[in-house]
Amino acid sequence: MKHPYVGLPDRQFWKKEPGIQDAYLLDPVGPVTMTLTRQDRIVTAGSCFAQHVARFLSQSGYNHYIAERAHPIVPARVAQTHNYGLFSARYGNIYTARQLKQLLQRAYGEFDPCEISWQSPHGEGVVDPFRPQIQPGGFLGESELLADRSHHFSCIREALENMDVFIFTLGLTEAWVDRRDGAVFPIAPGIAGGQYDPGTVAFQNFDEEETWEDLRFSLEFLRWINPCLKIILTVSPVPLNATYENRHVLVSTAWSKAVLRIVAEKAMRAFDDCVYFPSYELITSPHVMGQYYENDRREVREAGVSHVMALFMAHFTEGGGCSSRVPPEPVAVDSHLAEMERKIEVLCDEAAITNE
Amino acid sequence: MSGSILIVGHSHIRCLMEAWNKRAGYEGEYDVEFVDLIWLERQEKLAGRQVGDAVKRRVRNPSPNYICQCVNGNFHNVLGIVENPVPFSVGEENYGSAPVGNGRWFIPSSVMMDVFQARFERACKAIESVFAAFPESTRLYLNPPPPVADWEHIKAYPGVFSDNIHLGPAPNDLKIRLYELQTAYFENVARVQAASFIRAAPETLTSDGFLRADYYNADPTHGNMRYGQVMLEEIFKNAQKFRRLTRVSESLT
Repeated sequence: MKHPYVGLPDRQFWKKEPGIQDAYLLDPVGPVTMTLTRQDRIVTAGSCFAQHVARFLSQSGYNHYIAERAHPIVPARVAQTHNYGLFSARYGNIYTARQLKQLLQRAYGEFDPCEISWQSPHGEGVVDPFRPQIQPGGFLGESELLADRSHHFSCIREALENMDVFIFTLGLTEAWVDRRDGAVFPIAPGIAGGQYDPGTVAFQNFDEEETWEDLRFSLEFLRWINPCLKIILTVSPVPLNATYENRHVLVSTAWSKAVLRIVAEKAMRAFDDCVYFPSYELITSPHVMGQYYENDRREVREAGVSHVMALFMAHFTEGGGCSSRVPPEPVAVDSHLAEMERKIEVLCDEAAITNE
Repeated sequence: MSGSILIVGHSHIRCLMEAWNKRAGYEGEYDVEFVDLIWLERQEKLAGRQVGDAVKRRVRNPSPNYICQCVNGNFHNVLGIVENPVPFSVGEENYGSAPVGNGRWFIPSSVMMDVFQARFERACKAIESVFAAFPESTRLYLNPPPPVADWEHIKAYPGVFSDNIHLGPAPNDLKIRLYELQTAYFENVARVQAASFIRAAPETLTSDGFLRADYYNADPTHGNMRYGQVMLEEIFKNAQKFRRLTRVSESLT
């Protein structure tokens, strides 16, 4: 019998998927048209699942390009606490395509939101409304925030202009928007700073057309800055923590992920050198029977991240499946600081007094 | 005798001790005893929490009326005595950064505070253990002297920094900002330890908060004996304040 499915690859048939028998063999990644080298500068951004991708790349010997580093005098654990190295710059989680678009515009001076700062939730100082949780302790005031933001934007520009690969994880469609100028905040005011005023901010749930326009703009903007850029899109498998829509959070999650998945597909078809990596499908698939989710049924377990990243490595890297982790780089002690500390000790030793 | 004072600390208590040893007119007022932690830590390898017991074993008077600590305190100089090979600025409330302007690696003040906290973790345990070892003593904490702004003085007395002088001076705005942050750190430690915090006396400061030239020691970071005299007086004044308060409180009860 002749029909159109004759001769198609096994991956296109549900029952031929080895992952049915053994979930660990599930591999939904399609043909990949790009290969990443260890030299490629990879910039990561997106929702909280993007943090896993960034961390794994950093630990795997790939060049997770960190443009916004802590100064060498800052110890590694302090830098980590203040979210240096989490992503390529300290932009924190970028949940929506609109947020990505506006970040690019802000970094290049094309959009200057009227909301500059939010009062810190602790009462003292301020936080950045566009990354309110980036720095425990916040900023002393708007002047300091603006000084840091200026440095932050210069690091973003450096990252975007020098990157070879951009991996963006689409996370949400729901957002809170400033009614005055359309600026999108990553979380509603009042949660991690600022005050909720319905007269100033409005809830918005971006549909597939709005999300597509925002993503298209962002990717065109990036290609304008960096024409040879390779783009990898993913959709976060992490469900919504909360929805403002008057319906069950699971229903909102399904709607939101559907929008994001459609938009990622559209982007893949519209842009050259732009691929979709199915981390969402892998984690949520019936094959793994929910075992990649933590007990809260929301956070992704390390086993899930490892499966996702093993497939990422297998399909996107030169080693093709060589996903072995390399030990983290030894923490470099700032040599100038160490030398100065030694000398101060000697100086103070010289000044020592004995009480005998 | 107005009471007994135990002064515990690192190199910044040297000027106090010099002043005490060459004292004139202090007799009969206070009985002052010093414990130099550099010397003590050279005798014994001590974890931060063991310092208090070690100090107690060494002192002549195990129950002083007052205990004053001045621990470490030169880290602001480690960071800012000369320009860092990777020049940086630190967040500041009014102008955004110190120094103002681009071209330097910006470090937000809360990050810098955590740098101080990480650096002083052991010192903080030592301070706590020393205060705890003298539970009956009234607690005082002496802030170290501010930085020296005069690059000519630093060049004239570079000491161990002679081969770092080529880096040039760190900007004064940065030096004073680092000192402010370190001061804020120790002030908070003192508050947590219920210790009265003693700042450098106004007469020892320039209008912009640096150490006045009259109080420079023949090295780039410490106060001289004259500074020690002034600050010893400050310690006595604070002790007296407590005595008066104690008397008032006793008379009220």
